[in-house]
Amino acid sequence: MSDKKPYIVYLSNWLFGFFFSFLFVWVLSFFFCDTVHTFSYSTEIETWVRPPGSIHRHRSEGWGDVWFGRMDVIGEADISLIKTPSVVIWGDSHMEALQIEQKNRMPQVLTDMFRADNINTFSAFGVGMSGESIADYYLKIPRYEKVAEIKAHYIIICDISDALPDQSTAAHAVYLSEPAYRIVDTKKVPDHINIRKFLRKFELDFLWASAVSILKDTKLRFMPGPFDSDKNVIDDGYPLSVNEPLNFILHSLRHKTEKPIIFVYCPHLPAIKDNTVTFENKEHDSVDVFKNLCFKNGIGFIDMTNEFCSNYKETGKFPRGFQNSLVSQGHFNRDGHRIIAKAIYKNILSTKIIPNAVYTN
Amino acid sequence: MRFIQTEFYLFFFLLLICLYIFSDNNRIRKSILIFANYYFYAYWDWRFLGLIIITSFSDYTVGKALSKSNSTSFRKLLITISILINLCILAGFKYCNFFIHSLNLILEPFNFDLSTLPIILPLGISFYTFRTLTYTIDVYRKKIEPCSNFLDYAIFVSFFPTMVAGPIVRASELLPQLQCTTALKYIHILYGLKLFVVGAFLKIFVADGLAPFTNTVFDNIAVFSSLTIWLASLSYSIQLYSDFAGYSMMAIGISKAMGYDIPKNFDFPYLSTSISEFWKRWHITLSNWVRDYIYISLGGNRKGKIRTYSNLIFSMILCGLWHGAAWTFAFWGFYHGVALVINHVWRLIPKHRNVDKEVITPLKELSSHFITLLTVIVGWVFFRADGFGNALIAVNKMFYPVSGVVWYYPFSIFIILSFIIIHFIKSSRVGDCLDIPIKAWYAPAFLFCMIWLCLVFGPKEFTPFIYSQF
Repeated sequence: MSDKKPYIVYLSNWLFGFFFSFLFVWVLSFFFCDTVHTFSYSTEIETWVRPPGSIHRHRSEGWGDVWFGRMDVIGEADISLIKTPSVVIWGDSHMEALQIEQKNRMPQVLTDMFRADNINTFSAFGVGMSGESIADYYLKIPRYEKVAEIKAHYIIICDISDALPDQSTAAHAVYLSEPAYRIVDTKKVPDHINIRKFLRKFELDFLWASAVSILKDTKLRFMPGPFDSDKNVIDDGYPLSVNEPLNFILHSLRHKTEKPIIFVYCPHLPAIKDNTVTFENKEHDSVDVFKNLCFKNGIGFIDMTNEFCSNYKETGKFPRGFQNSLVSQGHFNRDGHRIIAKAIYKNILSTKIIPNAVYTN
Repeated sequence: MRFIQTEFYLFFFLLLICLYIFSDNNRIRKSILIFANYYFYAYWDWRFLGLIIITSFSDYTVGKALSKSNSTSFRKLLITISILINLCILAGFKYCNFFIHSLNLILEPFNFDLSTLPIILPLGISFYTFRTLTYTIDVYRKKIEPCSNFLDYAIFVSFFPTMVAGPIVRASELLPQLQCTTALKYIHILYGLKLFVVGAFLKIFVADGLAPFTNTVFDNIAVFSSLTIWLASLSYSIQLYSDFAGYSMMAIGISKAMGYDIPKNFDFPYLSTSISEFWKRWHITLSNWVRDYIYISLGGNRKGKIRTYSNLIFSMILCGLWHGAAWTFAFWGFYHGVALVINHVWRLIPKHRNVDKEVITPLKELSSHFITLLTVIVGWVFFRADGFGNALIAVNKMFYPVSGVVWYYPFSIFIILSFIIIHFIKSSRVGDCLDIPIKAWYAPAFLFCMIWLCLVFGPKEFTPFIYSQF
């Protein structure tokens, strides 16, 4: 160095810089960083859940703060204390809906609709976790029915392929096709539980985004290229015949409960694609197969395609996407939740799940 | 290999250690450097290393032959061979399918249809071709002495910091530095680190943060409302600048840490008050290259006004085509050429001629900024849009408001406001404060903050450098 400052001065500058920046990003993370999910084991539903009372802040898509109650139910402290019969809305991250505030989530909107029509003897709550599938609902439905008085199960499904076996993204229970069709409870432990707990305890959630999630996904390569990055991609295409596997899982699900089960199919429509807003569903054929199999197995089916498309045509609003993420893509926004809640409400009344109720919304 | 990946950090750390150990022995140092250069390139695709070696060898040989010959005609033949070899390689890889596609369009009425070829565009070919051309042309013009050591020349052609996306370093700038021993210095490493971190911040936090918004809007331009397109156009202007200036800063920083100086490539281009000033601040090494090796070679401003203007437009069209093999790039070049001509004509009007010497009123300055910025932003629409049709839709929507999907990306608004504030500070009296001295006590805090912001809020998926595709 050209000037004569002792090295200890430079060292202290760098140490100060590090601590200042750490403090800076720590403060910033309280406003703009997602919290880390922590998990505790629930003996009631025999799986890992978000600890009751824990709060999740979501900023990477949408803007939501939600809290978890007993048995992983968002915004409901204890479902066993709900005095009225309920409908449950099941789903994956679309039902989990961390992206919006509690009051705008579909179970709350549905409950508000009941109250607006003076139906005070009925409630709704939602159960959902990212990565869950029908295999999980198959295992969980009887466990929840033991705790709460459930009148009907509505299951949100966004891709028919999610109902097929051997999904590469299955996170919890899995639906396998070999050696025979079967549903297996993997009892998988969420990754890095202790690190998650530590980071959450000290509000160091930003370290999860910046370090842990990067490190755990980093695979080093030092060999010269070309590197075929596509060779590990698993083809998730439909098998030649979807009837048999779909029928198996629907049949199994139907025999898990005596309560009505209704699938709510929510396609990724309308969507901005190829310089236009598309209303065309490429899953159309498999949706028909799925719907027919649902009816065959005594399961209801609501197709949200028309509701989503007509809402866009009337208001110009998409059911998915947020201003801070990709518009028309991703999870349901406030409008999406409202439209689905409305469709479920109509179905509840039309199928007389609530006797003598009249639709006025 | 990308500058922003763990493998690169390890590679560069090892390289610095090796260069430090052998800092007294320039020969070993250079051997390490050539190995590092070739490894860096081979990491992407080792098969294209041959192309660099062929280019290096042919131009080195031409340079040698040029120095030995006094015959004008033979020297002309040699330089023609050198230019042809380089341009044929560039044309073959970069423009072949463009020519085929254009030919198909022309001959469509005659049912003529040639299929395009499955050609991989070699990484950084536009940059190293222009770099190596500076050598042979400068030797031909007797501006520099030919390189006497092939190793030096091979390092110059394949110099890894500038390999992928510039700056376009000239032989006269880098070769002399390779010939002398350069010891690693702590202060150089610190200065290099600072530039690298600021560049990475511009790339990861700013450019990659804006990419999802601009990509979606420009890929679906017909769907969005006028205001959204304006926001996307402004965002793209910032994204492109941050992406490319970020890369350039990282390249300069890496070179500096190794003890080599390479010229700066950007100087707050959006503060320009005219298009000619813009090209003195944007991609400086390319605009200087175009000026020295195309515009001046065509006659520059020595052959009358009409010829000057046509030279300007032609040079800019070539500059546009250098960026990409598409007619939108050619049009973008033409557009800037015309803007430069208008700027020249404007300056010829007597009352505007001495504008630089007059006291410029704030209103005049503001309107100059505004017109220049508007011209540049509209130009970027052609640069970014996928085809003429989409570019025209975008420009039409920008100037004739229409409804459509409304999307006000909050991050984009934040970045635009931040850029306005930073540019305002830069153009004020306290503008120098933006250049943080690396020895200042607060400099590490700034750098660490930038690193944290990239790590925590930067997108998890890397978007390739825009200019690396050229």
